[in-house]
Amino acid sequence: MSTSRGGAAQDAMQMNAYQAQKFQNLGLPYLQERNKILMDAMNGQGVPSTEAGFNAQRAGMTEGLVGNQRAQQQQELMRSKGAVMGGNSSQAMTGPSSGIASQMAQSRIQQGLADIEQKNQILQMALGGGVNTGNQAVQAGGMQLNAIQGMANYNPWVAGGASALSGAYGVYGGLQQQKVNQTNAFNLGMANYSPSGPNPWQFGGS
Amino acid sequence: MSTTSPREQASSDMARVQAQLASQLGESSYPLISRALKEAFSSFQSGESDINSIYDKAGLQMKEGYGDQSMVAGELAAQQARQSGMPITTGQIDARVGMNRQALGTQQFQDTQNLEYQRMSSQLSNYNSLLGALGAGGNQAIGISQGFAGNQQNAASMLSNSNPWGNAVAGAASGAATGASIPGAGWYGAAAGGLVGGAMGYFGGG
Repeated sequence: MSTSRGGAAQDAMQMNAYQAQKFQNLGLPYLQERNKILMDAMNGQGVPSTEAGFNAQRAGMTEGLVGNQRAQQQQELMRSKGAVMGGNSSQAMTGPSSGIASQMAQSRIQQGLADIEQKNQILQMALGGGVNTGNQAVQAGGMQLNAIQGMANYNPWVAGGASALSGAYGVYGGLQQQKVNQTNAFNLGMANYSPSGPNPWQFGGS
Repeated sequence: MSTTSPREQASSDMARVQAQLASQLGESSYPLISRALKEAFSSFQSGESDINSIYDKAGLQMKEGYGDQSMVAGELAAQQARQSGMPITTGQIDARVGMNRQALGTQQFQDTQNLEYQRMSSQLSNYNSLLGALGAGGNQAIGISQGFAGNQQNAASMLSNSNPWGNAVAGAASGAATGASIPGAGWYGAAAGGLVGGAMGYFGGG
């Protein structure tokens, strides 16, 4: 860990960037895949069928009913024999079971409603998943803006070019000024020149 | 040699990554929400007939089941009478069959009424579920839109509030003056300075 603020910031930035990228690489493909599965499911693909399960349920009901009816008939027969001995013939005969028709109908209803319920569940999951993904997209857009705030608000190449030109013009101006100064000094010397007088170009001369 | 600072470079990298992520998430989210909302609306429109179809089939199955039971009622009574070993007359059997069929009819009526109650209950449940999904999905889509709009506004607030052509004019004037001030450059210096200054003002103005 660096002891300077800049170095620590650099370390923190790299660590966070690495983790962010790692989790993004982990989550994004699965999220995209999940959304694709939900899309397929809404198109009726890949959803397990309930048909076989409900058919088995109805077959079981029929078999169970036959078995129950047989057992019930045996019991009724025993009872009717007892009733005969007691002189009551009306108990010798019983009615058919009325439950099977209703149970079979209920199985059909359960199957139909289960399919609709499954469809609605997929729809809810698709909406929830899509909205979560959308909200994450908005968050990522916000993070993008936060990042942009750390960037310069001018074009560095133009700014660099301006600085270079300014510097070059400064040097040029300096050179020009030096020429002017030399000319002025020369003119001043010429103005003060006298063959018998002191040498104007000799410093401290007399 | 790079003209950007480490902070600017890191911010630029992050902005790019987040922009890509926001785009990928958005591309995954939008079609899913769109499809789910269409599906919810379509299911909402066809919901009544979908449920009716289930209950109509179930009602038909129940009716057939009761018909079957009514048919076997006679055979069952006769068989039970035979197996009982009692001296039961045909009139007694017919009376028993009539009673059984009446009981079956009563039960069928009750079951049919219950089926109608269930049908209405399922209609309501499906109606509420799909209407809720439509409302929630629509609202949440608007919420995502508002989130992006907020980001858009924040991005707009980061833009320069100066007119680039205004900057260009100011830059051109400054550049022309500088060019003209160069000794010996004359009109050529002013023109060249104006062009360079104008370009810098336009592109470098933020």
